Amino acid sequence: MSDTKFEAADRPVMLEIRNLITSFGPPERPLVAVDRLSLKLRQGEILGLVGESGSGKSITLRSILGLIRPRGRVSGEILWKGRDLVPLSERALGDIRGKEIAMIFQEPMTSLNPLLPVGIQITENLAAHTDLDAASRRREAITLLDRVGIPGAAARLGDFPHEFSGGMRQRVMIAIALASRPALLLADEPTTALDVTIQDQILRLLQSLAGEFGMSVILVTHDMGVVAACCDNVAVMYGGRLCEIGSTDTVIERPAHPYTEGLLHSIPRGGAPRTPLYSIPGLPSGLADRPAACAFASRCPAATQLCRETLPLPTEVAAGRMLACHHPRRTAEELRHG
Amino acid sequence: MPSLSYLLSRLLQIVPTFLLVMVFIFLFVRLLPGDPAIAMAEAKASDQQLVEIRERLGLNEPLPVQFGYFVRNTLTGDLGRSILMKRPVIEVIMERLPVTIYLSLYAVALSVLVAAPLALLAATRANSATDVAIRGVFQVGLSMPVFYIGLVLLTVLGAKLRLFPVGGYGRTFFANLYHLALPALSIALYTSAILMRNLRASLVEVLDAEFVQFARAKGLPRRVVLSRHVLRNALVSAVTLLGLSIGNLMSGTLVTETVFAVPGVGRLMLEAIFARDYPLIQGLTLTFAVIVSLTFLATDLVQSWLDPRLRQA
Amino acid sequence: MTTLEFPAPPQRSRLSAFLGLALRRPAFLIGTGIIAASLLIALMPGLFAPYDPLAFDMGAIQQGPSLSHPFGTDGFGRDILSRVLWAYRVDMQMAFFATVFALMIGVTTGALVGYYGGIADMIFGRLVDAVITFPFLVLVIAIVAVLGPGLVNMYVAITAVNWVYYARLTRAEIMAQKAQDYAAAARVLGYSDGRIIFRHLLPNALGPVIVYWMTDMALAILLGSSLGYLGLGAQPPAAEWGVLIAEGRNFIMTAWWISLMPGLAIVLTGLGFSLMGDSLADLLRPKGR
Repeated sequence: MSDTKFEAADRPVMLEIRNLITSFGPPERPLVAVDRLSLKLRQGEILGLVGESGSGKSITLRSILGLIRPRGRVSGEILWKGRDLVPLSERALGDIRGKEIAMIFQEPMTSLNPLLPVGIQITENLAAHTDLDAASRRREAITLLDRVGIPGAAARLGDFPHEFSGGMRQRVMIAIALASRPALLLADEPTTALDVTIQDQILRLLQSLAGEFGMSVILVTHDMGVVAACCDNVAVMYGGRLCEIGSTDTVIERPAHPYTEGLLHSIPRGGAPRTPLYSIPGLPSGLADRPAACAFASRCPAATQLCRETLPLPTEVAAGRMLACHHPRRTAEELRHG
Repeated sequence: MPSLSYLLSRLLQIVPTFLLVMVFIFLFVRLLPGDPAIAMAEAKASDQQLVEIRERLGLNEPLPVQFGYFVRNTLTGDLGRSILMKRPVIEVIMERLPVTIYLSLYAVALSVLVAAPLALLAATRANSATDVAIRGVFQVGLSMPVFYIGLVLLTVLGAKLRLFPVGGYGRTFFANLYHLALPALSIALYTSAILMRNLRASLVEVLDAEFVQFARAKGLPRRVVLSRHVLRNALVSAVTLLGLSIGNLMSGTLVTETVFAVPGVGRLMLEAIFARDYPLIQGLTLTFAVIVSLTFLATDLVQSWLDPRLRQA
Repeated sequence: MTTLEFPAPPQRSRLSAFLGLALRRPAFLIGTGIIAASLLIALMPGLFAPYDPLAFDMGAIQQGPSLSHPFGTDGFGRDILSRVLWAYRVDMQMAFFATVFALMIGVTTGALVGYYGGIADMIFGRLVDAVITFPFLVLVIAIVAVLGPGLVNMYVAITAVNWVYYARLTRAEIMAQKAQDYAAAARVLGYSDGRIIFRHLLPNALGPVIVYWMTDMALAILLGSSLGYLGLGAQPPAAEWGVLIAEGRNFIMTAWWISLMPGLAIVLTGLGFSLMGDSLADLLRPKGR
């Protein structure tokens, strides 16, 4: 079963990130949250960005839209349809945010303004990015709520966020994000705060909407199960750096980075959903004491002196397969042919 | 809008509290050494007058019945006769009250005008030099008693620079904007210090909130993000604080009215105390309690109007 | 046999860690420095005052601030700086006596009410509501009106109102501590209520109360000097900052320094207490935010 879902090469590249560095704190002693990250995203592609909390995956998403400003600093290139977003002003970014690139957040509880009816929170997006008049904005809001599966949409425009359940709130947030038909959706752990059954519904909704609108998605998650369920490609992050990128099927079948392998152990396969997950021994290092060499070395079973001294650089080991490891779990031969 | 039932339940909550307030005020005169009737009467009162007062207060009855008399008298607006003014207490208070209310609202308006922009400036540049400077200045403001702020303003702006009158009270609304500028500013400098501190803290919190990040991610103009999402949410806690500071505000008017010779109920309270005019002291204490309760109630209503989550309670 | 003592969360190591942190904070150091200096002046004003605070000098009446009289002189030629320094005695006393009894009564009541709950707690809740319905100053001066003006009566009046605020704070803290595991464990071990409340819960609940006490001492100086100014607190000829300010009130157009210079002491001391209180509050706040 190879490459049935997504024919990569013939679609145009929408987003290309080159050497993204995001840092916080004093410039002379910066805390680097994302370190030299590069990736490509094609039209209609769903890319899973996976890692433990603190691995920099959420910061990467927020860097794309410039949301980490004013506290964080971004360098490198973020090419959106060939145009670099990094140097853009807050005002210029305003024309891209919400309109071409939309984002949804992890906590539907705290991501909606508790004091405003959800109707306004949808229509304000349309007001900022379309020429629709108030009546059409309202109609469009109803259509959107209906589309994301909120029953009785017309009657619920005046309701406040606290009057919706967690899953419904996440649907509202998706409706808001989709309001101006973005070409790219950045989804920051959209299902983590939800019940297991609701998680599945939301993922399916995202998947079908992406297909319907021809939208690309970057789905940030710490759950390999989520990736397996709906992503075309997957990028694994550890300690602010990319470890491995490849199509979901091949990465899950033949993980090459020891960290990816560890993560895959943590997917519950076939067992009861509540079985304790395998966890990789040790804890990720903090932002302040991140090593200049391989960040995973201290927890890696395959680590050698080399790993503790030199940073493994990302290299393309096979078509569409990138890897940053001195001691991959599979040979280049295995990776190429499987 | 808050529902009628919410309003009613809120009013019902006030009743027991206010009964206790009445008990305090009732006991106040009874705790004075000697005969309450003599305390409540003029110095040269005739025996006939004392008998009337005993009758009115029910002093020949047991204490609980006396309290009943007190509640009845108060509810019918009968607060007794002021010894100092030789007129009914209620009349004297009603005459002076508008001045104090004017002064308080003026002070609130000024403190919001001072605190809100500075809080926004400090919060959007949290921990910058600007922020530290603003907070430092207000910290000093918090350490100044209101009467002293008043005297400094009076000396500098009133006596030296002659920008404002040093006291008194005008006849029209606009005249008083000028006449009460210094007293209002004295109170405002103190209350704005409290307000600015709180507002800055809640702004910092709201600016960091996920829904503000989400609003930014929607590509809304900065103006809309700030006004619709940030300020509105920070306002909820600011309103609460302003409401809870009503006691401070009243204490402030009491002092500044004295410093600037403003003829409001605050200065009246001091005059009453020095004249040992107990009926007037009693009436004024009650008046202050009513003002505070009504403000608490209004605060609750505004809060529930601003925050839909509070409406169901 | 020694009795089995249930271990409360460790105090000592926390204290030394706490001091280590505190000493690195400028706000804490400045605040503590100001208060320490104020106490020293209050104990030995004669050592610092350049003149006799009561000595008339008819050759130096109403002189503005100068090198020989940094704060100027009043209508009798008395040196204002010396009067302000001697007033530290009364004002530092005020900070302490106007708050310490309220602290003791309030903490005890709050601890009991918070631990036992029930009817007492309900009545206490109503009492708090009623007390906060009066502006603080109004209630205090109403009580002073009954008792008569004067320093001691002022302490009584402030304490009569203020203990409620301490009790409210302590009650909330005790209830939070009561919900924790070690409290349940102490109950299971069969300790008496008194022992649980005062040996186990209270020491852990006191932090915020102490912080409030610091800020409250600043407020007590503001309040005490206000009452002194209004003629309801310390009575002339006692040297107290509010009284000193009131004495110069009639000369504010011609000799502003008589009134305004003593205020500097109020501001400085108030600042000292609130810096101390605020930095303590920062230090005691749980980490993570």
